Amino acid sequence: MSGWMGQILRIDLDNEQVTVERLDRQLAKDYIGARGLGTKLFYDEVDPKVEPLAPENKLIFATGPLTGTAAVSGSRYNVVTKSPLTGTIAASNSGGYFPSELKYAGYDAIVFEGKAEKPVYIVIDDDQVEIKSADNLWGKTTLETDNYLRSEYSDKFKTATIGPAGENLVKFACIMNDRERAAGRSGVGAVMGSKNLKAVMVRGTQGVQVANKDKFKQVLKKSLDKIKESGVTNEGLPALGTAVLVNIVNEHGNLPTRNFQEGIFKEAEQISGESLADELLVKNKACAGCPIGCGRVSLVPDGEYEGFGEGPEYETIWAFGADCDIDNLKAITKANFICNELGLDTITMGTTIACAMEMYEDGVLTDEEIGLNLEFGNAQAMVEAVGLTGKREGIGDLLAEGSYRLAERYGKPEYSMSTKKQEYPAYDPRGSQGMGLEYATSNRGGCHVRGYMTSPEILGVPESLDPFTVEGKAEWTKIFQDLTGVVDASGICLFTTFALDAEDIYKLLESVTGAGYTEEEMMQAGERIWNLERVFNAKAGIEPDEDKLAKRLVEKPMPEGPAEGKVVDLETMLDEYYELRGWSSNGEVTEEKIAELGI
Amino acid sequence: MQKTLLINPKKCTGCRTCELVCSLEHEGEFNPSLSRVTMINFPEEIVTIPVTCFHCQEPSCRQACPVGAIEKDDEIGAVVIDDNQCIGCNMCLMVCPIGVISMAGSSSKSHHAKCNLCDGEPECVDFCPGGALEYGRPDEVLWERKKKMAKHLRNLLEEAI
Repeated sequence: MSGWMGQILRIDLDNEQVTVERLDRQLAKDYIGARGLGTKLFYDEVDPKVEPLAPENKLIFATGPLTGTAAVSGSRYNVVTKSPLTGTIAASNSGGYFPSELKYAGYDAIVFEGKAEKPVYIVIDDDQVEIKSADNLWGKTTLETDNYLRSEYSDKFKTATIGPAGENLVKFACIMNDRERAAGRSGVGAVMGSKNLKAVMVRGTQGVQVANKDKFKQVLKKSLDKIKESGVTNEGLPALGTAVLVNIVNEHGNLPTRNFQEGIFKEAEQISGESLADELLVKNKACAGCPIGCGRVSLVPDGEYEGFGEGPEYETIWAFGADCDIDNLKAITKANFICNELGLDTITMGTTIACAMEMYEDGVLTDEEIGLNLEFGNAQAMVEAVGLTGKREGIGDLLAEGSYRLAERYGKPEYSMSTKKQEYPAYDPRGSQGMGLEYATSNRGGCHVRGYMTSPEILGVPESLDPFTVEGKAEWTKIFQDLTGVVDASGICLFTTFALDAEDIYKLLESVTGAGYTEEEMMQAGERIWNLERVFNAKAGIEPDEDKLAKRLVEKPMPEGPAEGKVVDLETMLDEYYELRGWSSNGEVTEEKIAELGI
Repeated sequence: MQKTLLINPKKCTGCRTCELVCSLEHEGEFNPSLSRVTMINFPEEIVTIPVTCFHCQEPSCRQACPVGAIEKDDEIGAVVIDDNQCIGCNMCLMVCPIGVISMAGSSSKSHHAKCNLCDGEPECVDFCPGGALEYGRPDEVLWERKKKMAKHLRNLLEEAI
């Protein structure tokens, strides 16, 4: 096979059994890989009603056919499982080097099943796979674990590991690979922790084959030219990282501030990508095969927030910054570093603290109860809360459940800015209506990387749309969601779509795999992935009436700025969206649609 | 003047594109373990440095080769192994001080994997997005660096005066 390695590694942790299975060619073509293939394998094998932290839940690491190739930013894998945070399908995406190395070892995916009796880690050295005791690693941070594993074996190995947060089953624990790249959202790290699986290390010497080398090089050249011509991928992201968005989104009045009570953060300049570049940035860092290099390496040389590492990204800066009313970039960066070491999703962490801050402000949470002054703007308390959460100590034990469960515990779920119990990222949809539809319909709950409507509504890419109108947004959202499914499944980075269109991605995919796709078939695979996730969620008990937004966004008009007076007109967009999707008028995937897509 | 490959580690973002396009060009597949250029990663310091054949003026590999299969191509500046003459004794691999000669292929049909500057049009240089790899006359490449430094010095002087 070209593109795909043709093998799936299955690791049964109950019985310490390792088996290798052949990847079915048609399955690979229909679901492409990574998010698509992982979800299909998961759907076929796991009862949707499974308790996410039970041994019967499975954890799948899946790469795409373009992972490990020079196709622009072909560095990604997806971790697929049932989320302990949302109860929906989880597919968390990460880059770095580990995903490519998994391909070089000869595997498209790993399926972990069962639960190890005691903590273990896995060593994958081409076709040699060993399960080793991790007794001495349990409790260690992600960086300590990576240090230990590489020194014990060879630093040619690439690692993916959980930190204490995953071990402590924090509902939004992530899996860190290559030290500081995160399969961040939906608590995939907690599932890994529930299996007593501390780390996976991999080294490989096999090649990813290319169906049509000359054609590929030609397409690659063209794609790289487009990346160079795009202001976003050639200027904004390399110069300022994803934090380039802080000032842009703030100027549009969409930077959620104080737990989405406002849309303009007056101190945005201090936490902007520009300030990061001026004050803390050491250099840029790229994932494998990436010409963009949006990663930041930052240094806080001294003081209480001293630290060195990767980050912070835009979402992180916003979650610990504007959303908590904090303008101290060093404190935000420190919170990011602690998250990386403990293995926490920065978005849910920051927004859960913001939620707790509002509850504290309103007297729902009290000093005596939480032992921490969680006033908006208290940077020290914010940083302390992050550490406590990873260890589930004090108030951290409550925060570790995420904002929805925290707020619901006090009978006030409306404080949680989330859909399907997963917190929103850094865009207030009252000033970006399409983003509202994307949040509401995302198959993994509140999320910006399932159909990034910010791109046309705020950045004007690929064309400029009026952010305040709902007109046409359902169709755009559907197309973006399906294309994102393709991108995620192929193994390249979503950021390439700031410069590349479906046709470019199709040509990369077809020249590498030679699978005989048409562009329509490729897009249909994206639609298939989207519908499969939806079908899984329905069987898991997540009903279409969960396609909703936090009350604040649909009832309370934005108080100021360009979006002043706006709420999200979700109902109008939803009706149109369900119809375009070919679902029933109340949002159920129909038998006809299932048959049409061959799910 | 002979061209040469120059590495500027400060510009390396660690993307490994060099390894990918190199293995595609020479082995027809994406496989960093067979690439003639290797990105060495120092994870604690978050630093990456590409390492490849320096195409030495007095190559120890050429000296050590018992059958004279290694020559320096003066036109493109590359130290090149002739696979037709090579008997696979691995002497070159043993004596190379940089560690940039390896074996590729199955044992019955193996060949040496060593940079030959792609016959004068190195793919790694062509595709390096950060400009960390350069190929050209050293005086020209270094002239550009000198000029950049001179501009910087000029600015400093103008500010100071």
